[in-house]
Amino acid sequence: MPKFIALLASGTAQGAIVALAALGFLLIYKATGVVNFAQGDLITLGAYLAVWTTAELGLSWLPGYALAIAAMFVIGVLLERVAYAPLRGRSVHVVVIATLGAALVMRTAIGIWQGTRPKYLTSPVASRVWRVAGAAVALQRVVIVVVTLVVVALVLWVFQRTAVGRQLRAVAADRETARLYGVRVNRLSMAAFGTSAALAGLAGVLIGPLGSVDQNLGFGVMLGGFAAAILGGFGNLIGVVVGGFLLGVTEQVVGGYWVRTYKSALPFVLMILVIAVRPQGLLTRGAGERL
Amino acid sequence: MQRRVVLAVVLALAVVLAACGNDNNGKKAKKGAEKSTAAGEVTLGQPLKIVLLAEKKGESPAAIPNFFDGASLAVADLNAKGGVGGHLVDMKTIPAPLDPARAETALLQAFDEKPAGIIGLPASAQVVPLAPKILAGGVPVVLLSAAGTAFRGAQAQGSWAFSIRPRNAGVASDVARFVMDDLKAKKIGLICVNNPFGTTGCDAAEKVVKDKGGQILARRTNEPSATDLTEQVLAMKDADAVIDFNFPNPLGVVANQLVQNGIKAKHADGASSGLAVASGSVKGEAATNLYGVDDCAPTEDQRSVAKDFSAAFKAKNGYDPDYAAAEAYDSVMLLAEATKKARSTEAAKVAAALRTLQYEGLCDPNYKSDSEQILHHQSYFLTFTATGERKVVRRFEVPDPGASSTTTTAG
Repeated sequence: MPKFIALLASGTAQGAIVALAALGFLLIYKATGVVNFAQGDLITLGAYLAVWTTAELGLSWLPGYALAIAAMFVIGVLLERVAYAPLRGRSVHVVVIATLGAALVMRTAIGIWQGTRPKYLTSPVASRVWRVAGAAVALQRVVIVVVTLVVVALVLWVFQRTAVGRQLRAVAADRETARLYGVRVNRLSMAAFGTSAALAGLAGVLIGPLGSVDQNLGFGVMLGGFAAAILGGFGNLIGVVVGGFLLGVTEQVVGGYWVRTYKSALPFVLMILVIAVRPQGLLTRGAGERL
Repeated sequence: MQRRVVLAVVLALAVVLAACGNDNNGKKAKKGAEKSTAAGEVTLGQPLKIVLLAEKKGESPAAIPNFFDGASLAVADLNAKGGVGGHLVDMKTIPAPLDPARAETALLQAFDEKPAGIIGLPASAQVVPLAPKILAGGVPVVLLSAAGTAFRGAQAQGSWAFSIRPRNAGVASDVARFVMDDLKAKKIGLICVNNPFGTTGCDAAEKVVKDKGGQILARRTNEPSATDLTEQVLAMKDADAVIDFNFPNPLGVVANQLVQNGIKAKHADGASSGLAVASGSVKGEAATNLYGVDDCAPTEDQRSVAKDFSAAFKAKNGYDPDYAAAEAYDSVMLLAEATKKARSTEAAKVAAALRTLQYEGLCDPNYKSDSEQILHHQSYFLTFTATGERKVVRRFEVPDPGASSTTTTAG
């Protein structure tokens, strides 16, 4: 039983981070129709910015994290201006390639700025453990789950209850019609890139203290986030979050008891199964389109 | 008409004689290239040319400056003393990214330079796909990576490939011996990163543990970017020691999760341990419980050659040298020594000299080529304090599997 609880806690925390990454994908996808492949490097950059604000600027963890996440919002807006806005109206594939290029630029810039040696991101709960029915659960993982649930609730509220959310849904449904109705689609796409980058920064800040921060930190999370977005149907907010948690728990719990050696492949096996059986996603209603 | 014929014959003779004269001069010059001075110094006909295949800071996300900084310092030291064979040493740096296709282009560019030797390719991911080209290259390549799987046995012997890093499987075997003999562990858990470094390390350690009558309690793998190793760590709960061949990030996760789960097993790893502790991600009990390995300890080495190097390196570059900088420095020095021994900058003669050379360097007091042309045969066991300072426990030798030697330890 302690093993099951420990694995379930790990899977839930992993799923939470994947869900944050998937939310970032989804926000940009809804606002612009583009999949942002710089999301993984934005996660890494967020963690490095937090290392910089806490270890080098000497800020304590809360203002340090807040500054890093705010900086990530600005970087997201800049990314929109550089990698998306000039290519608006061009093929989606061109924009996707531009986001890949932006990811490589970011990675190189991190290497020049911070070097390639791993760095450590401080956290007030990094070494603390919560004992549950004989299982040791790192408090950092509990924090990850709680913060993610709060952020997901906030994003859902914005989507469902605010004017910005309604506009975003209108743009996702039909960009041109939304523009004709007076929705400022350009501002909306800037806000979506900024919020998505801030979510990536938050993910980096949350997973950084689990190990050390290096240039590959965000890559695996991005792949998981992409798989979660597909599981959720790439349009359904709740579906994407559920997809993230499902992937994390599948990898840790199923992979913890069976197929241990190949457990990192399990999320993608699940993704392929969903594409084959239910291409519209787990929680999306209506007939799916075969890929 | 007759005059013209005579003139033509005279001119033709003059041209032939001039050509012969040039040839003789050329021969004289070539002979001069290999002559020794009265003081025993070799005078070479042309400068020693070396190509460094490594990236400088900023040339790619993965670039680390240590290789270039170490090799540059070696060239500066040689040239401050007049160079080699009466000429300043000429080192050209070509960036060699991790991407094998671009690394291949860099290697071919290096061959085109027709150097006496090439130093570089710091990642085994570059070396393995390039092995056939290195073997056919016609220039000795001193590899900065432990590419143990690329050149093995008879294929390695007499080839153009040399390695400045100790044999990975040999280090792994020594870590297993250290864990069993020094730490008195019998039940061992293995955690291996899912790549050739982790797999060969765990295979070698498992063999030693079994040969010594120990028990492998569990063997687990993880991805290089893993941030959660709960299952792997829980599988180690009854082990006396965990041997972990991992990258710094997952190594830090293992070290911390062992402590968080109350698992008292000793934890031993390779060179990643020093990087993980230096990053600050492993501290307190997780650090004091950790044992590591490093190829080279130039800042802890008490020999004057190492002290002078460490001081000069820090003064020039602003940071302490590590194994990468020291091995790049030694690689340049080895090529310089081989050139002097060969009395030539001809690649084949330099390679032949490298095979028989013995040299006291920074990282090994007795560099010499073994049955697989690995030049470096020692490493250091390390421990760490709770606040992250490292301490050398002892030096150990990494034996040549082609020789009938056993592991010995030195102070």
